[in-house]
Amino acid sequence: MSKRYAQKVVNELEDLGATVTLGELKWGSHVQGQNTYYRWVFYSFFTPLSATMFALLAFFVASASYRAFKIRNVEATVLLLAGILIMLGRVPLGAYLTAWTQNISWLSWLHLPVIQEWIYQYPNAAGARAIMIGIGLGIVGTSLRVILGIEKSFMGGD
Amino acid sequence: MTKFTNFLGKLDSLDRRIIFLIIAVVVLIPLLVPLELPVETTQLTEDAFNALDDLPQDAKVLLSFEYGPSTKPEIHPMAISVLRHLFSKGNQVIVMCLWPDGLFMANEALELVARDEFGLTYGEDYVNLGYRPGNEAVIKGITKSFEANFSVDSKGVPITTIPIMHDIQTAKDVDFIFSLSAGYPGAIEWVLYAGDPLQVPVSSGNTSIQVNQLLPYVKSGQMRGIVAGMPGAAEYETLVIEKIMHRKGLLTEKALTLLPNFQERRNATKFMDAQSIAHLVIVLFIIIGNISYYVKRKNQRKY
Repeated sequence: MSKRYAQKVVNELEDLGATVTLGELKWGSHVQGQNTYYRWVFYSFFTPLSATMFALLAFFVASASYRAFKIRNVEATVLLLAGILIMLGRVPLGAYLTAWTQNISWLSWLHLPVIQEWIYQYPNAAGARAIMIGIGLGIVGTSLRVILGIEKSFMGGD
Repeated sequence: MTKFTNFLGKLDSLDRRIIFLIIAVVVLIPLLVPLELPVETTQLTEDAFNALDDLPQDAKVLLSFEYGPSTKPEIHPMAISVLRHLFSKGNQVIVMCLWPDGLFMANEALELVARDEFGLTYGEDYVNLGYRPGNEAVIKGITKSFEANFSVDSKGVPITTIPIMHDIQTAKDVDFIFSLSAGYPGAIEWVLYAGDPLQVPVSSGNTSIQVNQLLPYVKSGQMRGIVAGMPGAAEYETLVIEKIMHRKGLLTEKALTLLPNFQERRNATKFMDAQSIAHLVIVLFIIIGNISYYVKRKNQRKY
């Protein structure tokens, strides 16, 4: 469509006596080209803006964990301990701080990356699996209710 | 003592701008003065690395870019390390994108690794098919025909004329699928629509937050390990360097000459110092927050 309009402008300019040549760009050249406005917008605006939005998470997570991560009951305590072990076990500092446990065979399980990996692989995977099964059962249940005409709320009923 | 307990009690309502400032400082300092903490590898990363490392030299790997600038610090170092690993072994790489901004990420990674570092030939050693809208429909589509979904590559060249694509008709013809994913569509869709139906091995590089969702697929054997977040990327960088240093498995001559360059440019490892200190400070914040909460509650009970 833009090619047709461009040709129209070229024709009008030629009628006025100008010599104009209409070039043609390949499909997607605005992305592949080195000096296109699209690239400029992507790298000058979109990239820094989206990186900033994501980076803000670190600040809000720090502030939120300071205020909300409290030992109020047993479940909250387990969550808090698991969170701390994962946070320290995932980074080189955790491995560095507990590197001494690797020299004592019966204490090697206290190495933070080992604990973190165990939490990831077992309680965490079990929890994720349970959530997925729950979602699956929920979808089956809701679908059956819709198919059997029990669930009518999507049509405006109760 | 009372003054101190009152101070602890008041800490509960600490201005969040002070927390923001402390986080900014503790992230900035290790970036300016690197601690160079050693990186230990974990089973999940080793599994993903070994799955790719066990591929024969003539293997073709499909690398899908599903991330953008927001998650670039976490996933881009993985993309670079995986490309370095595959090209070090002489594997061919077919790149495609399910996210529009993935194309920019793919171009950047390929320009750095394939063109500048390894000096490979486009179309013979690697190809970038570009972005196609349609999410999982594109994955489902390439299980039937690449040409129907990607008639031309990202440069507008018909894929039938690209040498690397000559014996690739469907996703079943690739030897491995590696998804660099920051969300939907991503690794799960690759497992559900291509990996499982075609029995093509799949692995993935993801943000840390996605690991929970993906672990069941790894435990069931539907995915061959995961490279999880920036720590995973740092581990992968370490594994690639160790492989070349100790000349383990398949290796090209070019990879040996590039080793000093790989050791120098380790973006994820460099950022791990900042992440280490930031995590430690957040843990300290949690501990201080709980002490303050405990003291405040105790004071309230008195009256």
